[in-house]
Amino acid sequence: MLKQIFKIIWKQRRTNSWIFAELLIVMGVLWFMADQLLVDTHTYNLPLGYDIQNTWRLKLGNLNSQAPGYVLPEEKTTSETDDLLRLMDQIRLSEEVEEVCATYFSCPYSFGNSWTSIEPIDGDTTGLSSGSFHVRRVTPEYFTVFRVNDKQGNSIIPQLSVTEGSMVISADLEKKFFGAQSGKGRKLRYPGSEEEIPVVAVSEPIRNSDYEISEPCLYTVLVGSGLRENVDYFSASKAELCVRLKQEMSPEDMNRFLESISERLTVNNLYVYGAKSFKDQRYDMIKTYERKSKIKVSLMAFMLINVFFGIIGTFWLRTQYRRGEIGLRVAVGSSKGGIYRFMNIEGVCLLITTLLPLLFFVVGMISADQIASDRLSLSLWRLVTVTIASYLLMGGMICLGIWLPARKAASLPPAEALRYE
Amino acid sequence: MLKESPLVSTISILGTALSIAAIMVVILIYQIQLAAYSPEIRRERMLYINATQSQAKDSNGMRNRGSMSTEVVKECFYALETPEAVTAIASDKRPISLPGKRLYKEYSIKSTDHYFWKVFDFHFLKGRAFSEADFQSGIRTAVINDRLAYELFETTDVVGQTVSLDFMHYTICGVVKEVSNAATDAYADIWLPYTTDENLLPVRHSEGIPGEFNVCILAKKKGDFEAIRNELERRKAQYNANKIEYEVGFLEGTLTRMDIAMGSTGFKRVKPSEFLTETGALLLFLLLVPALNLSGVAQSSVQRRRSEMGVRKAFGGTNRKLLFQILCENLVITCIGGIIGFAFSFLLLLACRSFLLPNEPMLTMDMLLQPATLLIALLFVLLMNISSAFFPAFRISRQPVVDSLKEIE
Repeated sequence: MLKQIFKIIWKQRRTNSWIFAELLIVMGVLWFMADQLLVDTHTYNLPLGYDIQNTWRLKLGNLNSQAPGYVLPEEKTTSETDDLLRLMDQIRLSEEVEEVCATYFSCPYSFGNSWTSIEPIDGDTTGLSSGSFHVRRVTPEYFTVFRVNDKQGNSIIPQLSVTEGSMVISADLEKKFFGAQSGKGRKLRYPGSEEEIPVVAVSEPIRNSDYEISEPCLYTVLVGSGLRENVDYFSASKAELCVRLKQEMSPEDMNRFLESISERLTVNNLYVYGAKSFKDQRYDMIKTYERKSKIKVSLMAFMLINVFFGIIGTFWLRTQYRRGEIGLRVAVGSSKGGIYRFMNIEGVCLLITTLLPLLFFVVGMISADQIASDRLSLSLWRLVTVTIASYLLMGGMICLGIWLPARKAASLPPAEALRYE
Repeated sequence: MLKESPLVSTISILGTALSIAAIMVVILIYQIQLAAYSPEIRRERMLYINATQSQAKDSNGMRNRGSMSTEVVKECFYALETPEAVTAIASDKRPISLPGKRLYKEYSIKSTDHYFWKVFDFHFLKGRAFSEADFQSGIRTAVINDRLAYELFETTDVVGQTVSLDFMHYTICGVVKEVSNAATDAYADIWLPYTTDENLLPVRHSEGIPGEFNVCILAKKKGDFEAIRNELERRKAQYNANKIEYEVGFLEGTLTRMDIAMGSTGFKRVKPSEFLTETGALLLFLLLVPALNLSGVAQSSVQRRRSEMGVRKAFGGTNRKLLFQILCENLVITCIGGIIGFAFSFLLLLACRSFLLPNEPMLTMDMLLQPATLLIALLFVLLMNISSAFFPAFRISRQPVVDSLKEIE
């Protein structure tokens, strides 16, 4: 039967060439988009390494020098760090608040970030790359607020020593520095510095956003003089004050909550002027990715609807034109289902003919390095999944398009159909 | 003739409609960036500066990129003589409170000058804009939009009332009708004279060049752009000559509305050729895929009418006449599809604006319906017609009479 079908397809190459060209272009684009969507979905579903549910960022500001309550610098007895810590304590007093932490350009979905050079000292350092890594500056409560745990899933807080200048590294960095060995208890140093910094815990891998993969990173835990240095350098109002609430709140609830504790939200010249949920901050960060995905899905829908129209139009006219042939088939004993199946196979065969050029196209793209493999390696699994998925999608659309013309053809009484012969 | 094969006609019409709708959505997205509508009604006469760099004069490479300070605004821009008006704008988001009550809901704020009201065209419901005197002496006055007025006071009759921003009190001097946030330069909930905010004063580092301001220049006429650019160069050179360690630069310089619509920013200019390649490819794709479709359908339907063509030819119809006849017949279908698609594009844009347009702007009829829109739509309908029907029609008109009559493919 297949031979027969291909013969028919070849015989009708005039009309088929249009639909074939369309199928070919659409398959190429569809394959490419399906691949990108697969990579996006795969990345999206990896564990993030933290949890932002019920967390909010409080925005800090400094009082205007003419505002009521402004404390003149010469009258101030406390440092900016004292003010910041007191503000955190006052917020922690509220029943609704579970925990508060301060970070510098380091909260989840933060648009700013810091990088630092660092290298391992003890142990075998041969072949291990020192380099510049993403550093997150956080107060210890960060690990509670965002539920960042160690590799085994245990809380990091008890592992943090009270001594200053300790670091937590991510599992990716541990692997980079120490290979299969454990990084906990080892020491790091800044290149050219004598100071040894102990690694007190190893966190899970952390991803910057839902559409990025994790990268090696480390945490500087801000306590004591380390915190003071940071606050003095960046100023207290630049801190990201992050809170975890015990219950979910809408932005309106949150505004009302802040209104209810507003007298506790000012310490000297430092005050909280607003709040943003990390859910919203996350959305701001990933919206470009989401927009691109949605545009891709819309384009795919556009193409599939077109294929549907194209198939239905071409096959409808063709059934009218081939009534004789169909009548003959019925006359020699083809059942209705048989006719239906025959036409579907014809459509699918038309689609299958695009497979070879498509594979050439894909191989070409791979050899030209046009298919990104940084987030998901180019495995046979990926190529096969994408190819099968895009062919299933197209095949489904083609069968849907053929359904109406085929039904008409099959319902043709054989005698009438034969008259055309 | 459309009735002869209703299904095929429907499909051709729907296919065209889909294509035209998709193409028009792409066009409308650029139109919203480009066309003039209230309050940015003079966009074709405007120049924009939205990137500033302060760079150390010696070679240590210290530089800061962002926006400019009020000092640069004054020395380089207010001093310009060629333009009709120049306005400096700093944008922020902050909570607006009432004097006795701290509130935390954030609103969009623009700190600007009195020239702002000359450059943009707002509809005042109550009161007036803050005056030059208010601006010069840093009087805390504010213009708010009707939505903010309703949210705070439940009425728009609020001239003379007080709002509080960061514990500072501002007297409302005017209420304007809310504008679409697609007008990014003019849009805000509250407008203040920037002289009232000490946080906007020049910074201490980099000799006071970096700041929060971007500038919109309104030229007297479009032809003045070159003269304005030259004068700005002179002002800049003068300003830099007075600086010791740092100098100001505007990176990609003054942008026209067209540059912005093509995706340029002051930091990175998108060349027209890049824009045309990218958008052209997309439009071609949106046109080509349905055109292939329709070609297939057209091919099948002309084929059925081969004998008709043969008869026509036998009675003296020339190739050109037949070609023209098929194209005209097809044009009826493309036109109907075009009209449906055109209407559909508005719905599509409205439904998908959350991911098609940045900031999910409010859409108004005057930004969507411009005379050029109709012309562009018509152009694409014609393109669609030619690309879908030309080849099948050309081929059938060339077929020898005998073959046509014998129905040989």
